[in-house]
Amino acid sequence: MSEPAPHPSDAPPAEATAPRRAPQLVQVEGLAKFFPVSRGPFRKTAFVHAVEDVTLYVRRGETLGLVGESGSGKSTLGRVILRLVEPTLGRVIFDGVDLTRLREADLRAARRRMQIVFQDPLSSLNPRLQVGEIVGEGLEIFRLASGRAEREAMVAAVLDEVGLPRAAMARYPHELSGGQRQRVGIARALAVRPDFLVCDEPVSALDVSVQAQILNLLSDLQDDRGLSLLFISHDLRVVEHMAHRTAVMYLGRIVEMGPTPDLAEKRLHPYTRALFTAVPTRGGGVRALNVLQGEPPSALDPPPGCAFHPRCPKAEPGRCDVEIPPLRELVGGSHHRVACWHPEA
Amino acid sequence: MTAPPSDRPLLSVEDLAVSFDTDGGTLRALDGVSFDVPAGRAVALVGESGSGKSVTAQAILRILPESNARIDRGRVTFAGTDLLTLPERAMRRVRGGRIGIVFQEPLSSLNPVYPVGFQIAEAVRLHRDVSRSQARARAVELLRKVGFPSPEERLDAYPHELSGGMRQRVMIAIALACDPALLVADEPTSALDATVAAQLLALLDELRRERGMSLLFISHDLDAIGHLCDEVVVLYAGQVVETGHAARVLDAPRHPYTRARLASAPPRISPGRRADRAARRLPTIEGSPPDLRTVPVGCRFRARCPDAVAACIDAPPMVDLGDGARSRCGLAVAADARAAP
Repeated sequence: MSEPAPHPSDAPPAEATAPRRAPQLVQVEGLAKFFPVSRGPFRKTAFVHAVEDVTLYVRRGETLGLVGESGSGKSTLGRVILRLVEPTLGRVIFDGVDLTRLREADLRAARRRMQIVFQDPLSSLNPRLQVGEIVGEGLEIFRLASGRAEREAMVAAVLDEVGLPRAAMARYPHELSGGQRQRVGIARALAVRPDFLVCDEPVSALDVSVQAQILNLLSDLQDDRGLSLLFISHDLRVVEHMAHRTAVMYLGRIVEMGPTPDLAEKRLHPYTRALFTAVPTRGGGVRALNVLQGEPPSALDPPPGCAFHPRCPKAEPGRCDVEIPPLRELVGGSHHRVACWHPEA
Repeated sequence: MTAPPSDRPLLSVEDLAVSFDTDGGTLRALDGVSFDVPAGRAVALVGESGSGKSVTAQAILRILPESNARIDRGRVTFAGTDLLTLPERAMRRVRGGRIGIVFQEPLSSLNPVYPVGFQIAEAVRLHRDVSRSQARARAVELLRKVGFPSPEERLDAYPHELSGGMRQRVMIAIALACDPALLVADEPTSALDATVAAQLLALLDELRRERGMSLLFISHDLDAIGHLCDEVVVLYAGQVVETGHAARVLDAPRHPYTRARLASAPPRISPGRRADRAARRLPTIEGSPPDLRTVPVGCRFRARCPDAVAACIDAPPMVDLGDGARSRCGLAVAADARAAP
């Protein structure tokens, strides 16, 4: 099972061309998730609009980066796409099948093909199970191995693929380092041979030198297996390094999305611009940091119009605080979309 | 306490060693850490988790967990006073008085049952002989100083009613309550979002310059410190491995660990995902830091060092490279000797 996905041998290197032309594996249309919040016994139930009207796609073999600050809805979006959380509105089409209309029983087959890697492996791995059991669990659930011996061989192969020794099978999560635990989390997800992997802040809990090891591992796995990744992170630098295309979220909505180099260079949305300049670079002065005023508003009570307008240096009264800007392409065919009435030129 | 002579550092840490009793034996968290914070300067203490950066801060402030930590040796001199031998009563006046403290997580450092204005006023009254109304007026002034637009309205807010960034501003206001000579900030922006972290870094920088305050800034983020700090002290496995001017250390690191650590961060504004697999790989540091329950022989970075040679089995001394730069690596000396005629 550790064999690389077959590449057409006569095609140019997969990573150079495949993502741009490859078919879309995941299509998300008008997806929304509202969580009810009780505000006390005599008050009306309010709704947090965690995800609102999100439309996106992920191609085969492609990484879509999803960047945003805490509360932007990026983790919820990842979970709603996998139907770990039920959507309120909208559709998720996975390899041609509308997941949102499937009953739980029919969802099983799709579940195997879509897996998730969490931020903190210590809290997402069962502390009472040995690594071999954690990684082998999915093989058992989906009946992918015909017996104990085959299951163990498959577990050993996937551990090898993520760079863990076979001896790790008999270890418990707490006996491993943070980086090794995250490798177990990745092995667990990979064991059932998924096509689509949601990585939710997979390196945020790790020190930088270990981060680099895990990022390299994810890149290699993608190349070898042709995996599609939704790579969620608050760290713009990590997303920039990993993603073919990037989507920027603010208060539940995608405000800009496009090929990563274009997005990084043009930064059409004022929020994207602020995010890029808020990341310190070596040598720059503190004053050179773009200091955006205020903090993200509450998703419980989002501002009218464009949710970013109270912090936006370009906000136009009467428009930005009234009308929600649609996510649109400024240049036809550029695949670079922005939701702003006054995008940066 | 009198002001220190200008040629003496405000804070001087000498040969500090701290150990913890753990189930698996004695863990030597710090082993001979020495560095200075000159008056009016910002010094960064950087390292990965477990390198000893927070333990250093806790030892300086004498807030190590009493149950299992102990200071084995060393001296901490602040404005001419030896902090480690100071009676606890006097140390309490130093903490939050001449040394202000800001921690990573403001929600656990603030008292949840008191309004923030009260907590700031209490900090003022603890160290100054002022009336309640004077302390309250001072709280308003401090809140304005740290960027609350209408501080009078926020005095009665409880910590949970404020955002993470605003709570951290309250922590800074409390730390500044008594005009400290030194501010110790332990990962003050790590729990905050990028745009909010940028606001806080700018605020710290502004306050420090305006007040001529010294800053000991503890961080794992080498880029953040380049903005804020004059000097850098790099910790690895409980020892200082490199010190020097911030720009110099970041641009031309001398110790192999600092070099590898800087290289492993994704480059800024890379041209998106490179098509070429080799070009996309980040340099990594193989392995992990040593277990400090069994102190390794020789250079502590040896097992992971790409440049290690047989001589690294001998513990390398801290080598003075001139211009305030020091490196705990025999190879750095050899390289410099070759470079110099």
